[in-house]
Amino acid sequence: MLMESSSSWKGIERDVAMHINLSTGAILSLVLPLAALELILIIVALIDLIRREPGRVNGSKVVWALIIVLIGTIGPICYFILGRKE
Amino acid sequence: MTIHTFWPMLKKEFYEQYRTYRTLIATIILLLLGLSAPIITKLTPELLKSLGGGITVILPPQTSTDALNAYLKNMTQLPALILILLAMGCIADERTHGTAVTVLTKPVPRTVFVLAKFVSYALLFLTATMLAAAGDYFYTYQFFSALPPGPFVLLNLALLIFYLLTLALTLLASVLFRNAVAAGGVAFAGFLVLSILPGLNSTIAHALPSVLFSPQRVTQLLAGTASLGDIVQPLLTGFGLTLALVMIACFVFQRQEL
Repeated sequence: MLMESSSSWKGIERDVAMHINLSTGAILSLVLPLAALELILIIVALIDLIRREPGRVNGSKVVWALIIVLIGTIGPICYFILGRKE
Repeated sequence: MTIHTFWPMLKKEFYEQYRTYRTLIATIILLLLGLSAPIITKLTPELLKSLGGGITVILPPQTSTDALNAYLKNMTQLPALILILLAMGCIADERTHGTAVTVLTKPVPRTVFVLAKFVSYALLFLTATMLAAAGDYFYTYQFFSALPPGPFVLLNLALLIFYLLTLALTLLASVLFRNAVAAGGVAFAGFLVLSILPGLNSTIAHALPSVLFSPQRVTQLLAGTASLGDIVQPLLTGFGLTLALVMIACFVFQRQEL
């Protein structure tokens, strides 16, 4: 289930587009709300990371940026919980 | 407990949740899981067909019951872990950083301090669960058929009690340990015990709220064949355990050195 929830929506969208006879509009209506939610999470995490002084981040800012961008939904959550010195 | 001290404390907790992105995390994760359940249920047969590689996979047509089972499976795993991660430091960190002393030297009873934390997280997860449920209900209706509202609301109530029990466990662990990670570890262990126990003993299995999430019980609920006792007992047990754990947390915290 962790895999299911953390899997990349972009990947699902590509698989759907390649193999299912649905119109582009139908695919977008399926995936867009999910992609939008994930995007909000990524953008908010990145803005917080950029504004934050390096001393108030656990570890390297570059590594956290990569984690946020590359690891789907879990990346930003890991950053919010583990990456920030509150 | 005076209401005059409780409201400012609750307001402080909400503000802290907002500033630390806890509100955002809980809402988005639960919404994602709620929305994705009917979508993934709808797409599963097509995806299996496309990924089969010559192997024929025969699946019965997916129904709204399958979507509901996927929703319950989604909502009972990751959200509980997220809840533990978000709440594990709620008291432990305040004690370690010394902020608890600052707050409690003002005329704030310790019980109010603990209860404000519990209520704020409970309301956060109530709101997030309601949003996720609304999204799931809408998508299930669009892709399959409308779920009967009564059993759906009841299952979401059971979900909420399941979260409250996990939260109470985390709160108690956060009172017992000064280290947030240790508190999180103990809360997770407690969560695992609560998840494993129903598999070991059928009496316990019928008493805990998680029994309502099993596919058999969901089918019974949707068909209206589940007895009132089968529904009420797990909800009451979950609520009672939550209440007991919160009371223990308040009791222990009142006797602790900060």
